[in-house]
Amino acid sequence: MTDVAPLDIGIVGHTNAGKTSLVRTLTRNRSFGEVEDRGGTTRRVSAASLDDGHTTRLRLWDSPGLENAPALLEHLDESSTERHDGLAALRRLLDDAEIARRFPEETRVLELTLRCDGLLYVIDVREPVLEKYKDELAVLAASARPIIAVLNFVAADDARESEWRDALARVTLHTVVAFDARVRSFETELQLYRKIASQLNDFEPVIEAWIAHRQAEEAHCRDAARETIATLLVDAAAAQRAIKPADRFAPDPSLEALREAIRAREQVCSETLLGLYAFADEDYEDQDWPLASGYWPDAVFNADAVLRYTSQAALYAGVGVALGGLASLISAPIGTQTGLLLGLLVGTGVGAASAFGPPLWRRSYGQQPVCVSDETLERLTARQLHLISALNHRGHANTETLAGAQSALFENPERVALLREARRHPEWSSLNAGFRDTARRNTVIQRISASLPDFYID
Amino acid sequence: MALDFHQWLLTESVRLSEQQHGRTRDDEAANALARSTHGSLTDQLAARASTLSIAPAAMADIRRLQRAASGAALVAMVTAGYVGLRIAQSVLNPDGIDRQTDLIALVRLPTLALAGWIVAAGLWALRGGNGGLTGHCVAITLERFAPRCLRSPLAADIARAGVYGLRTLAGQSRLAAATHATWLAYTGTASLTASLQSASWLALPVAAYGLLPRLLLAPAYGFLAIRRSRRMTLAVTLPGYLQLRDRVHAGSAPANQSEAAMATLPRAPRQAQETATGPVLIIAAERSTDDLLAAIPDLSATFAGALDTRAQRRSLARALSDRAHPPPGLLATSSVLRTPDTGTAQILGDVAETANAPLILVLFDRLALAERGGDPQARIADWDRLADGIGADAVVFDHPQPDPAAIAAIRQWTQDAETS
Repeated sequence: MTDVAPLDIGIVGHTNAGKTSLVRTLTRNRSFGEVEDRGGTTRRVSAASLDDGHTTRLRLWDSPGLENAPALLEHLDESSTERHDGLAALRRLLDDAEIARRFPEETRVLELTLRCDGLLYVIDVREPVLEKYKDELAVLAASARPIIAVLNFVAADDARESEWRDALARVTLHTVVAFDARVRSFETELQLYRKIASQLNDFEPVIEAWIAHRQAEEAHCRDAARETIATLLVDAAAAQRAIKPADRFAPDPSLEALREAIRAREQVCSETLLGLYAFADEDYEDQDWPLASGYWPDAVFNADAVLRYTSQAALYAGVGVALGGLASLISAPIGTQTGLLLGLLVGTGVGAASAFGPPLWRRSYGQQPVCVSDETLERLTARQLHLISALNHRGHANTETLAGAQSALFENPERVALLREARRHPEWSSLNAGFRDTARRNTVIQRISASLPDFYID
Repeated sequence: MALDFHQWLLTESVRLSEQQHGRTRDDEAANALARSTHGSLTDQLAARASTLSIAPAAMADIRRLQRAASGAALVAMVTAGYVGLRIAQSVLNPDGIDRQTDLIALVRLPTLALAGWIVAAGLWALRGGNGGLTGHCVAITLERFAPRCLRSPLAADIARAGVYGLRTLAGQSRLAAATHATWLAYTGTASLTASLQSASWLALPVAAYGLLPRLLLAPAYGFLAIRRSRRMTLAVTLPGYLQLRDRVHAGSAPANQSEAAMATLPRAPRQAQETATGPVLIIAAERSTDDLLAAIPDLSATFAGALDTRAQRRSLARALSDRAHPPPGLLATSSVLRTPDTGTAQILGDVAETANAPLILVLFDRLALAERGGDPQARIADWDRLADGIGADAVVFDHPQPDPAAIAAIRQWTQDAETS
């Protein structure tokens, strides 16, 4: 970490206005502090650092809620001898032990304001504009720190946003941001930082650096989310199961095994997405879903499969030739040509047997593999896109559990074609035994990532 | 900031495993340790991986793999040396019938291999990959055979991490060092054999075309391999790493441990004064009284004023002080949509004290709070605590569907106040 001084921002406001929720959403830390729908939940000043991996750019100071500003303001007015120096009056007030005893929360908040560079005054806009809130602003204004009003709960049905904006304008507080801590909006988050920068010119480079970091971080997060879904789809498309049924009246064991494998894999994908957006596994409750239908590919004789098996046999042949040549060099009785020929024959034989043998065996003995149908793959895509979309708009103070659902999805021919290609490569699925992470698999994953609709992710 | 090759392999193996099977469940202690690292994300991820319960077994496997790789490189060098010796002997054999061809083969093979390596290295730099034929063969061997020889639950992931490791600069340098060392052994023994038999016509071309370049490249890449293996970095934007970012990040800390108790205003329950006269007074505390008066039109009470502004409070205090006799009781309407706070408690307590009369809080909007997604029971409990603190009673009045019991309670309280 370098020594650049971070910007200290105090998060202040009436009790239960959503101060800790705001810090949670800005820091993407759902375990920061305590959040409850009641007053006095936060009893102490806590800091959350926003660092870019090298430098701490900002520190957000969460504070207890203001509860008795009207009485405090009266004390401030009574003790003030300098009409135009609120800061001096405030300092005098804080030096008074009796005030500290009578207003413990307020004293703590006001001491904090003097240590901060700027203040975010959080307002629950579902509340009517009461005089006690104006008193809070008057007390905070005495700290001589720039104040930005953050309108929380603007997405609520009973929000009184315009009423509040009007009231704030009347007390000459024009720097106002609507930021609902329960609803995440990256653009609004950046807007909030820009408003802070506009009020604190000295810290503009710090905030600009933080905004650039957040933009990069968000882009990485979205790219990773796309890749996570695309990898799931390739794993699912290429997955195969071939289990001989013990009872012909029982459900197809291959289909059941495939369903279980994909179900588990989808859960891993959901958990990864939750992790990427800094939510916990318990924030999402998925419902069970049926594997719509299976797909039985003609694995042995399609062109791709034959090409793949042939290349596998050729690889073995090459290794055989190399080993034969080496043997002829080391062992005098074997001539060079004999060694090469022997190596070629043995290598080709072993390669052909290992490549064509298992699929032919399965086909001959009725253990034909089952794959996932196009329809199921589209449903998987729709479910994961719905999850991403929900996480993109979820604040970290939101404690309600998300339920699994499907987004409406328009079929993308390119994606369907790529997934069909994946289906022809069982080695591309981490759910299969012979998994190999090839360059072509990675290319297909990248192309599927790009084919996912921006609407849900960005 | 930088990891060594073993740490990198372990962290990468954990990522591959978690990406496939889900995050390790018993990782809280590991995450906590990673948070305490206060380093870069790479450091934190490596610290987390090395603290997981599977880490010791996985690290043992990684060392096993390292030993196997060193052993394989040694075998390749010994074999190459032996082949070089045999070819040199066959070239130097006076009975050899194809001496010229063998000589060309002896010199051409390492030269062509070197040229091929340069081309492959160039292609690798442009396109990525496992680093030519050798890298490809090593990768296949790792993927196919290594998981069978390793013992930890991460065996397959370690093998895959090994393949990815080959694609890094450190992996490429290790491969290049081993390849050059193998050819060094081949040309070295051939050249030595020729020198021992005073065949300078063979020793010189072999040394010039085969030995000298390898003598330079093998130690150079050995040095690079050691250096780069100590400076490995993780691709932290991969989903498997990025999903852990917030779990291993130490972002918050309490700055002030003192927790002063909330200011409370304990006041004893107030009784109506014997001298009390007139009806019960209704006051509005951050909520209109209209609903109450509409719901109970025959309520024996009159509206006295609101408490929301300083001016209203002063006016009400003046009116109460000016009365010759205290009122029998005060009935304050408020809303459970408001979070009770010490300021409201103080204002209500002061009004009751000025009036010298008992106080009851009539709380509205329980249904509205529930519709908003709040917890009415918890909120009402908070209001009850506030009422207790100022010696008042409280009753919940659900407009527009008031509970008859609530209406009866208000009537009863009013009558009791007036008759006591």
